[in-house]
Amino acid sequence: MTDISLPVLPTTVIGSYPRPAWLRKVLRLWKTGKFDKEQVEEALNDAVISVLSDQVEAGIDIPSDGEQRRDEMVEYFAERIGGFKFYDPIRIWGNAYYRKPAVYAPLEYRGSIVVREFMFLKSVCNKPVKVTVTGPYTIADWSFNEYYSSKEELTFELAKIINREMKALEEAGAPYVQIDEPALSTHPDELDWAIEAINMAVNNVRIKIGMHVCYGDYSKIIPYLEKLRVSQLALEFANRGFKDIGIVKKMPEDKELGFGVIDVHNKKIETTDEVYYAIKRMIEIFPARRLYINPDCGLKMLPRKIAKEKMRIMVEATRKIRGEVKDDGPVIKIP
Amino acid sequence: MIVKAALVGSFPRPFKVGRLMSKYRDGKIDEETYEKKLNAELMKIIKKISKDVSMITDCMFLWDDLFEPFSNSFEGLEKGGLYRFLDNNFYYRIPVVKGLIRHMDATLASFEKVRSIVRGLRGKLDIKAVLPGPYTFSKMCDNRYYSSLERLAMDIAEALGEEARELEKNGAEIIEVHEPLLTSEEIDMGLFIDSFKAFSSKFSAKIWLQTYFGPIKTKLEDLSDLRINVLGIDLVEAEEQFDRVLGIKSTWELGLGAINSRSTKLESVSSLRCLIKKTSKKFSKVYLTPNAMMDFIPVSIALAKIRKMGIASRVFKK
Ligand SMILES: [Zn+2]
Repeated sequence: MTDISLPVLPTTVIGSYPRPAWLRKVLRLWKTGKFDKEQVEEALNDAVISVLSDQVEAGIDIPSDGEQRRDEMVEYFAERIGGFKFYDPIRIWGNAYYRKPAVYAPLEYRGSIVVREFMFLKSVCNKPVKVTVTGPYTIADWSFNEYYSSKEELTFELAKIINREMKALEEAGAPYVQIDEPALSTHPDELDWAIEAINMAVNNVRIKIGMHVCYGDYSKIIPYLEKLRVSQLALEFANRGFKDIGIVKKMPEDKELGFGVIDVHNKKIETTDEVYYAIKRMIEIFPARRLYINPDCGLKMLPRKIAKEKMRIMVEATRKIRGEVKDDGPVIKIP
Repeated sequence: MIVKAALVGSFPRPFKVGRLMSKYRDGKIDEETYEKKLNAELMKIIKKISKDVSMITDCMFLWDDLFEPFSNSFEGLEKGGLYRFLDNNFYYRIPVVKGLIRHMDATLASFEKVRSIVRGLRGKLDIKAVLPGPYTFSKMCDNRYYSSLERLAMDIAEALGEEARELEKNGAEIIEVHEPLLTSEEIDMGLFIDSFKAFSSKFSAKIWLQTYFGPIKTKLEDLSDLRINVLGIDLVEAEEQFDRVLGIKSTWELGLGAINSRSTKLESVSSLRCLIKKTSKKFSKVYLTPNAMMDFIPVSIALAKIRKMGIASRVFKK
């Protein structure tokens, strides 16, 4: 395979995208036994095609499968790794809930978790795609630990499992994987070993790897970036009103930034100008050739129409500013 | 010594209740249906809790988070983006300060709802009202108006004090005040004390000061000038506080936060009893409680933990 050349300021998503209303209905009916597995699989595939076409129509350079098969990012992985069980759902904010898993037995890699997702996406998309993998630290932080002697031990066990998944993705030809670690900034005293665990998860994986962190204090993570073996950091900034964007100046020069310019928890659609000026401010302090443009976080909590419109605006603003930038775009190297 | 099992802050809002609220907020069901169904659900839960606990809060059933009700009701505040609540995978709408903060309408709905449910139960069940403390509130909001944190904290203290007074007028005998930032490294004790005094001077109901997720970062003696009736401390993530508390000279009653509200592992009744026994010489009244609000664990686990609290505290009743 040849390397992938991207336009300057490539646009991408963080991962999740709202499920079509009909898919939600199919999944509901499936639980009551009104659909069989094969029909649900067909619906999931169709949903991926639908949300992929939303992203392509909006002009996204690097789309994802919208995580259509995943109810929730930690839950999905925990369901596919041996040693987890589930209790009733717990609330995460407002009336949003998730099924927080509990580790009750030694963890066990039971075979690939998301490779199948990537294979299908590749078969229906002729653009470079992004695959997301929930990071070991976040899985550990968002689980109840009833088995391992410490959270650290649990995290490293998870890192070994995620590493096998990363290698399976490389093997399958995935060009670009993003490790999602939204929990990373929450316990600064654990960062030392958390970064080590993430490095273990990406060890000997030669494809492009990014990491997504959101809704936390990034200043805690910056000092560790030098050690971290991923090439991109995708961060939320719109939700915080672009406060403290100056912090990116402290990022090491070998790291790209995925700049979050769209608020995913607010139904109000940004204007092209708002996004344009946010990017403009960013390229004054951060080199455009190392900059990707994305929403703050996964889009799944938004109504689908609004998500699509937000992506369209994001692309429009990015295209507007591209004319003012002389840098070449980044290249994704294929091993 | 009197030993009681009590809740602090919230009981997890059950998924079913969350679904119901979303439907109502999205205009998919009318108010009458909503209220009827909600009351029935809450009644079921409170009945279960009341078997093992003799004091509850309003369970914060109607609160999305510790600050949300006040962003809606205080003048000068608006609801902002989602921010992480301390170090949890739980998020709150940040209160954005856009003008002078003033108390407008009291947010009594949650308290009154639970109280009317409790009245319908047999047996005695005390309810305390919950409020965020002025220090934590002022540090956890997005201040876009005040030129100093001090002025902001004092205005919030006034407004929360008014709120406490309203609650008191409506029958609240104990106000539980959440000040988790007392466990923060960067605690500004001067400001904490000033804002707490301003707040507590506005009403006369008893005050239960609740802290969590770590040890109080100041000498407990520093709190002895304040109008505090019950000191609620975290003994799960800050065991070392136990000796400090046993060593303090004060007339406080003790909130023994010995139930881990962030873990699914159940506590053993014998270890809970052992803890309570150790406090018996020092305190005339002890409340066995979770170490924080219970939003972070599933309902089934919360109920199982409350069961343990009930069993552990019951032996001490004469
Ligand atoms: Zn995110």
